[in-house]
Amino acid sequence: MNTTINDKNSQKIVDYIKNFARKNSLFVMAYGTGCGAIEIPPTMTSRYDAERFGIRGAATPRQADVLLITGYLAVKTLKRVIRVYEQMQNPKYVIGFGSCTINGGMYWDSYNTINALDRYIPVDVYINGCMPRPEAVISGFVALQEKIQRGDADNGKKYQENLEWYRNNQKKIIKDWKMPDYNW
Amino acid sequence: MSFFDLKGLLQPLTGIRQFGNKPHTIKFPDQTKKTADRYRGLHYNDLDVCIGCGNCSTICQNAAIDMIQLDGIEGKPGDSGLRPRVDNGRCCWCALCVEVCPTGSLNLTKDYIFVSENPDDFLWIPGVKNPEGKNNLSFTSTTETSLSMYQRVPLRELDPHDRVKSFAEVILGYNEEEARLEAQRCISCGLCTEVCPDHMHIPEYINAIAQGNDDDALRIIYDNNPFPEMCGKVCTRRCESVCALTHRGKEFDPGRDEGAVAIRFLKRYATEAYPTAEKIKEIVNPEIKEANGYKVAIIGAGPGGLTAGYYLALQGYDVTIFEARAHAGGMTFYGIPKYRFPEDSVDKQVEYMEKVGVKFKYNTKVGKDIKFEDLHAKYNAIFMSVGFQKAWNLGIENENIPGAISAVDYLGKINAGESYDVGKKVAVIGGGNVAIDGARVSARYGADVTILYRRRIEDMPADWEEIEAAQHEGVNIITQAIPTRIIKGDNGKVKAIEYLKAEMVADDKGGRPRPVAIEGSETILEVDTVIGAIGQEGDYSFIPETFQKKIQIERGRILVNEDMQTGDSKVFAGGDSVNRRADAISAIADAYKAVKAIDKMLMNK
Amino acid sequence: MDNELLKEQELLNAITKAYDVKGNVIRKGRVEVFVKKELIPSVLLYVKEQKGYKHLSHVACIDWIEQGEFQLTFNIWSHADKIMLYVKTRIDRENPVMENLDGIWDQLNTYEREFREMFGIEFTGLVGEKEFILEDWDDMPPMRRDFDTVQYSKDHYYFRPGREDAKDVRKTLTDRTGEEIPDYATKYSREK
Repeated sequence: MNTTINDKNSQKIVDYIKNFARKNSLFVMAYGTGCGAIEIPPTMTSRYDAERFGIRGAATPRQADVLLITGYLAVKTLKRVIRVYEQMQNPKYVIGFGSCTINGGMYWDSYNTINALDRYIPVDVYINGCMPRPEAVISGFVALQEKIQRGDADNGKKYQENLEWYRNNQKKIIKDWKMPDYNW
Repeated sequence: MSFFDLKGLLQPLTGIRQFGNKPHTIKFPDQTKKTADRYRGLHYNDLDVCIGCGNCSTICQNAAIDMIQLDGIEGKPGDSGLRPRVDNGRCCWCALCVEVCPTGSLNLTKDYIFVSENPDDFLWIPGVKNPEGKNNLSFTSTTETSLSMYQRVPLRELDPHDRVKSFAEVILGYNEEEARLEAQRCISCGLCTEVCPDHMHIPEYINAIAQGNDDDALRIIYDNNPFPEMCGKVCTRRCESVCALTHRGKEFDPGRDEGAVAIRFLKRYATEAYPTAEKIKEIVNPEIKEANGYKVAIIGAGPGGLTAGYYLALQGYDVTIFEARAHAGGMTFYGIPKYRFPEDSVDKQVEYMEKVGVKFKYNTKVGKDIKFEDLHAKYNAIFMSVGFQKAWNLGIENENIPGAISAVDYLGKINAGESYDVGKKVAVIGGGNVAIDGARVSARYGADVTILYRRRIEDMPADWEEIEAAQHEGVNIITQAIPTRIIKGDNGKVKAIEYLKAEMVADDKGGRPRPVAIEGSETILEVDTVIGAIGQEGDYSFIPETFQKKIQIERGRILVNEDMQTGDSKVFAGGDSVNRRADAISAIADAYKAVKAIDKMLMNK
Repeated sequence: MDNELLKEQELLNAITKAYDVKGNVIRKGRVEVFVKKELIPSVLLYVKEQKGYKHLSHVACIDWIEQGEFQLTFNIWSHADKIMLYVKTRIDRENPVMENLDGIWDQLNTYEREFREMFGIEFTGLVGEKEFILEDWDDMPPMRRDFDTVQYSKDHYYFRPGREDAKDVRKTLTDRTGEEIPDYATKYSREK
């Protein structure tokens, strides 16, 4: 049932409820790249217990809300990441872990890893660290939750709107483009 | 297995015993895990301590650190005025930057949580972004753990008991192994070049020595200093006082710049590696331009005159140096004792200059043997570096009787090979290097030497190592002593010196404390000789009145513009008679500037 | 002769006697032999079949750009002798061709594919996908020393802007003082 509510205040309430629900059930795509994936087990297990924030794993991209890019991305991995990201359903969020996703980190001069993640997929929150500790990871999630509650986290839509720009960047380094185009 | 399994039913209930236990999970965000003692979190930089040497930026393997200009931070001697900015999108918290920070201003804190939606936020200026980080330091470097070497390679020198017996050179210098080791301590920041009056290329030649390429080191040194052996031995080395390594080197030797890279002795090593003038010519192999027909006269063969002569000769000028005395070198020959700067070193340098075409006219005093007007008429340009020849009077009673002499005259006599009998007991008045020289030379003639100085030892303008060496050689230093009169003996010679004790009074204007004589504290010291070394001044009597007016001499100094040009456009001047620093390297710097200006003036004609 | 090194010397003697190769005993348990490219298959077979050096633990490739050669080092371990034998050979850098050796040890196939991709060494008769680790690579083999990895990263992967105001300390000082560093000295200046 798709009803639109004309009343401005009512829309606000609906948005609030929607965002509240979204932020408290973040299903994280269980896909680890780079070294940061090792920080996920302590974050999820009893010591830090991320599940109390509604953060839990998801088995497939189509069930997931959050894509964690846990560290450096080789060009080869980037292909898979793009594919995973495009399979995820809106609303979808990306968290960049560590220096590598911001400006290359210690792999800045590598011939095979990208430097700035937001050139290829939109990123919601960056967590600084090399690697970030579980507290920092939780802080990152909390920041993402705040962003969702504010209603700013609509990068999935942004990606579709600016698809051409992203595709250009992606195709610049992925020369042999054999990826399916999704019909959102 | 029966349908009704009691154990299976009750087992989950055992969890109840955990009820009331403290949970294992940490609370967020109230409780964060305690970090390790030397945890490496975000950077903190103490902006006041930082000197902007850029060592952090150079060592960073991830090219994460930039040196940038910050508002409100100006460069000053020993501080480049730049401060590090860390790109946290590159940093991997290896803390190499902390390990090599020569001042210890850059540290890592315990803060490690930094989340942002904007990737540009991660450009982080430590100390500006987190001023509170000071109280939260975690990973700091100490001189023990640091990767920089703060301790200077010890210098070999003669034993004090042996050295007072002769004029043999006291400091033996570095051998090859020691020089390489010492050169490797340099972090090549270049802060030293700013305070060097001549702006020598210090990091470059030290790096060349460190890499084992002495030829290149010598070539780089000769680029703007043709008198490096002298500088290597007796330079006032302002460079070492601002060396980045002094900041923590002080821990090993408080109050001194011992931690600094031994720039002076490395330069000395580079020049001593080539013992003859031929060898220097072969290595430096300067490009000598074709003769351009212009003639330049230089008055005074001191460091300034020699420098101007050398570089003008390289530019193709016909250069003649007029020297009043029998030997080139000026005060570096006649004023500095041979145990600090041996005659061979001077001769080697002068011989090399003759090889590139500089002409010398010794025993030719301008004003007496040749007229200044003639020089002015015959030559296209004149460079004057006549220095300060005349000693200041002590201004006390009986100072001109036999047995009282100025240090300049005394050292000049000794260095020229003449003899002067100082007797058994000598008093030297003054606290500069010249006073110490006079004292140490007298000590070498077996005299019992006392230095009288108005202020305290730490106020002495002489180099600390000179003061220390003098003390090792048995020179007694009486501080806060103001000489009042020289007492004449029956034979008309000096018998004793009377001085007043002084107390230091803080200056209201914020200057250094002044000595004020204590009434009635007259003390008499019996001496045979009194050597006055309280300063020198110039003697410009060789310049005719008419020219003096044009050249403009004010308060004992020749006025020049920034090109070292005097009021007379043809006449340039440099050295002690122009600048207030009164050391050889400043004379060299002045001459180097004047050469450029003379070249510009004559070539644009 | 040190008694402890008897086994090592024995091995070296056996190899040098059988083939025209040179070698050294490095220390206890470490022996190296320098072999011409053509002799590599027979030497490897000899030590594997006759001397009991059955465990190929690693193969390394080194780019000796100054000498214009690649060096392959085969590390072969004998469980009986407890000796690591280094068989070293040099290949011309301009024309890096080598015989395929994966018949001797199967795992050599993996190493050879890596060397083909990372150093551009051609192994005649090597079977296997051309692409090993890299995908869509169209530049010089990246592990060669003349490959400028920073420049490649700059060209392809976009450095985030905002850092252009960085200043060089040495240059700031020379600007302030007017010092002119001669050309022959700049190579000793600090790298930025």
